[in-house]
Amino acid sequence: MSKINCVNYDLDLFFGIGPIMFHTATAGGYVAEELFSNSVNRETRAKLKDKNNDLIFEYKINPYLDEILSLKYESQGIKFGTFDRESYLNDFIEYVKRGVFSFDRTFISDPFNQKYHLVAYPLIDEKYQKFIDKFFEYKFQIDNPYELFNTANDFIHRELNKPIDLFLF
Amino acid sequence: MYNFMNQELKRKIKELNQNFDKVHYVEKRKRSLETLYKILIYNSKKYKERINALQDQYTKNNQRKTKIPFDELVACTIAAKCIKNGVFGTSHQILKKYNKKVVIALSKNGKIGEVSNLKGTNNIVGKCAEVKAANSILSKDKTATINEIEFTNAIRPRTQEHLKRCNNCVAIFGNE
Repeated sequence: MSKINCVNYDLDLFFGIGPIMFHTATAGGYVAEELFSNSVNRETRAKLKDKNNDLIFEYKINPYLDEILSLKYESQGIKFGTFDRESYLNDFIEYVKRGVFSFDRTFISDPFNQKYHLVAYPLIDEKYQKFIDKFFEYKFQIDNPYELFNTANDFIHRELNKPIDLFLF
Repeated sequence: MYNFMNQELKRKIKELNQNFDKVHYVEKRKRSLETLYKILIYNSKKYKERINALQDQYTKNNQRKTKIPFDELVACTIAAKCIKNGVFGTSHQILKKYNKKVVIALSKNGKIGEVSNLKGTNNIVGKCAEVKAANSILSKDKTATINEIEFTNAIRPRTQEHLKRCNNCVAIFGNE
């Protein structure tokens, strides 16, 4: 698939930063070919959604999500009232329940806009070490999962209360 | 074996995407644009379920690493109506051939398959769901004109969100 073609599709990309796995939906945005052509995206998605994957986490919706989405629709001249929240969250929650921090591209009408926002995130608990052992090639050791969760939570409230730039091309 | 499965997967997903772009006869049932929009929402949800099921089915059968081609969830879908006919269009691929009236209209924006000349948009000329829908209508009804085509809101199948019309399509079809 060429750089031009990735704009036609709403792709699922996965990547890790330290012991945290991220998912993002591209919503017709430009993405570097080396990113979307990597088969690890499809393999990761399949592994996460496998019925044998019994690692299910509780989760939280980004507390700033409604603000971000109303900002997004306002900028496009679309009525926020027509927004179906359940339909919007469905896909992202499927990944979040499986231990992944899930992002979405914000300004979906412009394929070059690289702003992404956090949709929802898992509540990291004792199971998270098993998640790392199962999905990461590098074996991080988590001594205190709750400390990791608090760190992630602080970061979310400090930095992810608005869309961020995630340059994927 | 794996090449065959890749090709088969690619063919099935492509078929699923192309099936979206169909012409429906609306006059007999007096389908309004609003009804077409409801059908679009329903079709988009079903389409998403089928794409996911197809991918899961093939990946489960394929335990080794394979380079599976990326024909995935399409980014945008739309419904349109013109007199007797209703259609659905998606942003799946540039077409190999366009109706003459569409080609003339698209030439305002630049070359088909390339980034638009227009300011305020980076979209590829000819790939928009509106263009595919218009192409289907004009190919089906030779007397129809672009001005007579009515569109629903464009939506993103993954989330059912409304997608704003891009400048390429505003130049051809007017504002939403």
